[in-house]
Amino acid sequence: MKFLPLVWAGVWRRPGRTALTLISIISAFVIFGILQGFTSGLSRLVANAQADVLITQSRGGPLDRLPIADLDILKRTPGVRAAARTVFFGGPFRQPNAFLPAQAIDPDEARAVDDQLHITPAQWAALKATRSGALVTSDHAKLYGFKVGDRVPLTPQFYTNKDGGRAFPVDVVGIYPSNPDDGVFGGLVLLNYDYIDQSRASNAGTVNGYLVRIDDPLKSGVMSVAIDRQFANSPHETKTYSLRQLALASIARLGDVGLAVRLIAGAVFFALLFSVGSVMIQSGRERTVELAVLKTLGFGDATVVGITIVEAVVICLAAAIAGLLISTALYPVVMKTIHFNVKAGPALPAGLIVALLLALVAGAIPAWRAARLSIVDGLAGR
Amino acid sequence: MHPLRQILVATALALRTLPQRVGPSTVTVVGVATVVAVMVCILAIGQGVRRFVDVNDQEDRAVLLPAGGASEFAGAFTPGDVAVLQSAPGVKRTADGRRMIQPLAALGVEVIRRKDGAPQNEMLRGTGEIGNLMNKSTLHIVQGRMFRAGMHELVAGKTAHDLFRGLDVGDKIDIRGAPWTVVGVYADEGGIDENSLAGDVETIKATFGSTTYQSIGVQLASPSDYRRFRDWVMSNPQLNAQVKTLGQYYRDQMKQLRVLFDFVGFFVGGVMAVGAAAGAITTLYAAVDARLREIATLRAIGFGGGSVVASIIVEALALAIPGALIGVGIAALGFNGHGIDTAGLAFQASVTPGLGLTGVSVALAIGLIGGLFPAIRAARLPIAEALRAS
Amino acid sequence: MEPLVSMRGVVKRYKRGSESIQVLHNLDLEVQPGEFLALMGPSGSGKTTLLNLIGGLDRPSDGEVAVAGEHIDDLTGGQLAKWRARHVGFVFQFYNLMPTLSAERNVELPLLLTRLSGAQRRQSVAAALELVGLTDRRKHKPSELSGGQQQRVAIARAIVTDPTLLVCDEPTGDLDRETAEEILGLLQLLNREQGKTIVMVTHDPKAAQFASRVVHLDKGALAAAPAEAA
Repeated sequence: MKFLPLVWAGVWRRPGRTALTLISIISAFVIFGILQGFTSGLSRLVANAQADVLITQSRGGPLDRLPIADLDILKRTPGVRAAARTVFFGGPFRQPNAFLPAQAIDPDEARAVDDQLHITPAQWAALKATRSGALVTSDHAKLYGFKVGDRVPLTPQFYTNKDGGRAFPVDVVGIYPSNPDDGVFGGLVLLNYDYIDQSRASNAGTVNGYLVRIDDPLKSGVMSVAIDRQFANSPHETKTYSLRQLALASIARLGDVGLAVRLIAGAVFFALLFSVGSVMIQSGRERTVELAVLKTLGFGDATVVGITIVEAVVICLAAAIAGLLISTALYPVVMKTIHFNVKAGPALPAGLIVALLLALVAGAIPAWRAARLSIVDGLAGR
Repeated sequence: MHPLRQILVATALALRTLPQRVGPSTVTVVGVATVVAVMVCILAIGQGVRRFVDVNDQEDRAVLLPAGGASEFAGAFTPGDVAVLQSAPGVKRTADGRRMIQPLAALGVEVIRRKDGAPQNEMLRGTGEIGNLMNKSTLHIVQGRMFRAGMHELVAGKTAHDLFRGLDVGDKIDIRGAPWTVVGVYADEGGIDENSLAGDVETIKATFGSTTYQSIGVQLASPSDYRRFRDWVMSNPQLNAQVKTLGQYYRDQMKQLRVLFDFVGFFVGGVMAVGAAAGAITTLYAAVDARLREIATLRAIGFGGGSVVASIIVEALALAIPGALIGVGIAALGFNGHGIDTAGLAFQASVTPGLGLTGVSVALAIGLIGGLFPAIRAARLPIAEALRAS
Repeated sequence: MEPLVSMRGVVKRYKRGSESIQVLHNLDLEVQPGEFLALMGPSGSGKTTLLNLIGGLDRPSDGEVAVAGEHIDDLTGGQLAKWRARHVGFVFQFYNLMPTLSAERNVELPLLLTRLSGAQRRQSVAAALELVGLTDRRKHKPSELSGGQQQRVAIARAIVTDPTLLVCDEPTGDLDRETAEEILGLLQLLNREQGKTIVMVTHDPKAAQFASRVVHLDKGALAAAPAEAA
């Protein structure tokens, strides 16, 4: 602690150079923070996926349909607590680029399967009471100005109305807070299955999939197989995944994102290590006389090494923290620009470790030199 | 001395002492090379997307999509709609007089990745004889034969065949309880369909249990017929469709991906460039410091400040340019043509001369900024003080 | 009286590349407590090398060096560092102050190696600065001080731990005549009134006059009389 003024003086010995070094490190950590936030955000998505909810879809994929009759079979399967039908009803809304996600469900079923929905019993009741009713999220309400009582024309991607038009008008009966951690129904417009089934021109009596809540989350693998076995060799074979598996699969579909991220981060740090290390070696060389004087005064080799390393650590940590803070601010902007919505996971712990490693490796050579410095040679400037 | 000659002499002196500063100079070169390499590689993915689209860009191919919905899988066109389309103008005819209109439908099929056994959904695209005719110039059967109408037969794209198991000629895939036989493998010159499967649209529709087609592909007599054709379709109330050229459709689909990689490339490249510039400034300041006495002597002799500035900037560029070339070289040799498999699409990264130029420009910018401040310092140095410096 | 510094048969060799150069030849020297000794000689005579050995900055290739009864030639590098901190104060020709620290902080440096509290350190620093007459410049950095003032700071730093011995290498080499005399006067004060033992290397005969004894060095050995002027 008492050595702090000495360390601080060392850090700012050449203010311009220190500032430039800080800029280099900060910029590297801005990139690191965003990349790390993204990948740890993806991991968190997977971890948060509810373990006791499975999704049953047609073997042909989520766009293919299953008959509604399967629901009874699912409900009667041992180990299944509840099953909910879902029909994908999302589509463009107002602007061609804007997408409003929606699912047609049965209120009681949905409620039984997803207990993380922040929907009040009164709101559920309202949805049941109004056939053409819909529950929207607070985010959507803010974005589009929905109010309870509004009539909203939904234009789903895959359905046309029996009446010849494209619109399915629904009445907003409630606004609920969206839950980004809810992987089941988290942030959707919810409407009644009965209403859309009777209005849609095609594929009546079919659903896009079933959400199945099982009794024992540890049995998700067993239950998935058991469910699929019931529909094997039928015209509508199913494939059941746990939500966690689905999250992992969607990430896998992104391709080698993890690898790409690691490569970029690696390249950035390689360059940084080089440049920061070089600056530190240079700076070390310039301070040969100063270090020799310290040794003259009685500062031991270990102490001098310690001072050198602490200087490196102070610079790297301070710049890393600044860079990570900037990355936190930039992250939402980046996500918006690339149309990817992954909430940022923690980047600070990993970032601090990397900063520490950077300091130790970059400062290793100057520290070693400082330890080996002979006083006589040092005072002469050699 | 003539100013240009001054610059040359000053620069020659500067470069001659460069070997003494190998360490810091190497750092700048490495820094620049890294920035350029990373940036060009990322942008190359975006270029790969563009090339992908361009390869598939045909102005005389049109596609009917459901009005209001953008996806080619979302339509519900009836056979009646196809019949109506027979009256549309501008449609090319086959040698035997049939109009080149192909209704399409696709089914998701589960396939297993060779690399890690993970299941993935791939498209089994339903098309027909006319559709195959439309693709005749680019689509070739490389193994086996084409599927026959009305049969549970399918052909696999070469990329799909390489990526997934069980797609060799003779293999059977279970789709909706019925076995389908793989009868051939096709290549589409890197086109968009090479990573999917294809089969007879009518059979697929029946398997789907569907009575409608998802979209309709049309071969126009010539690109200039597009306008006529489009106007006719869009003003036809029975059809309820929107029309795009195939190129436009793919461009729209790929836009998100393209924007993603362009943005990431410039963002990461930009931030890294800032870091590299900071590093370059540091290195060049050190270079100036090492040559203080020499610079002061030059100026004492009578070399103008401008020649000194120029010599330092040239030194900076002498570091930045090799860095750029190394970076572009790494990107081109190591990454050009690298297969990218993402979001269900497979294409190749493309390092174009344009990207090479971008990389070099970034490097030059870094070099210029890196050299500017030290150069100004060298030019403004009080000569007497510098002559005393050791 | 026991000599404070006792050197017997001291030899010092340096390796420069593949050659071995002998700088000191079988030297014997004693310094009494309270002495102000001046070491004179032409450049290359080995006087700085000798000073380094007395101050524990280097070890002899052969022979013994004892200071205050302790054989410092036997100490390891780490022990020698601790010994220096406690027993020796250094004053250099080019001051060797930390350019980024204020005068105060420079003087405080040796105290950081002790167990003194912050308050105690500040007290010692104030006393040292008072002694050299620089109390009102204590917050200034070396770049804001004249040569003479910087050397005073260096002297304050050298005495702040109350060392056994003060070792000075050409302390006035970079100062003008007038300032040099002030500094030498200060050293003399410390010697006469505080009883500090001082060993000073100088090539200036006028500076040597401030000392109580002068010893001449020529080509690594003690000479009877001054060598030819360099």
